[in-house]
Amino acid sequence: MLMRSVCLMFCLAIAPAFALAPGARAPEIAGQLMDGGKTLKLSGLRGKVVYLDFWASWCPPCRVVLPDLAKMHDELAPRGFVVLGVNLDQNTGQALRLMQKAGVKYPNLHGLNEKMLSAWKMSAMPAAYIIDRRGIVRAVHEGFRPSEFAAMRAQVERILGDKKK
Amino acid sequence: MKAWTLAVALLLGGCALEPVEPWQRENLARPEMRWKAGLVQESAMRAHVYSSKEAGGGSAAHSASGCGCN
Repeated sequence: MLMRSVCLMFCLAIAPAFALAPGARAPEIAGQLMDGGKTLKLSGLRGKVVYLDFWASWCPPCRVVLPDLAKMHDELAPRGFVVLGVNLDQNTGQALRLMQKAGVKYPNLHGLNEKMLSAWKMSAMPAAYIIDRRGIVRAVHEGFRPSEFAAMRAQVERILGDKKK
Repeated sequence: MKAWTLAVALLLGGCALEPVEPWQRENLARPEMRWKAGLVQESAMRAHVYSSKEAGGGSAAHSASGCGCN
């Protein structure tokens, strides 16, 4: 009984520590686009490589990565790539200003519910998930340093080069 | 004994629940939530405290007569 209780306590303690691992199927996410009333679903982008970026204007590294993501999206879009932002601000005013300043043209969702966000099991921000054409999470990046961007982009290009299935 | 063990397990297990999720940290990220104020606010506060304590000698910025009225 004691052993069982200790195991139970251990399981409860480490439960939040498991992040969504590469190889897992990407949970569904859907929300309204920030620049209009339209709704967009992640599953609607199946067949494309998606860089899913959870960000907020109050998170400094999230702001730093915006111009790089905008450039990567514009350059790789013809090859079947899309950056999908998920903004987590309570009010979108500051986020919209930052997007305009960084030249962001990729879609950004807003107003997602807790259940959808919890499914991604992120522990830091920005949290980025590279999802392949079949909807499988291939890489997870939490936090951001400018020196890491080149490696992240190379990873995206490698996944873009995979055969379509 | 069994009931005690189960009660302790449930109580301690409860400590691991409900972490603050990354998207819930907007208010915690505000500048006024920092442990330490910025350099400007800090020095302004120090000057204010110094002036209050040393009222007889005037503030740090200028000399005075000692009446504490200017």
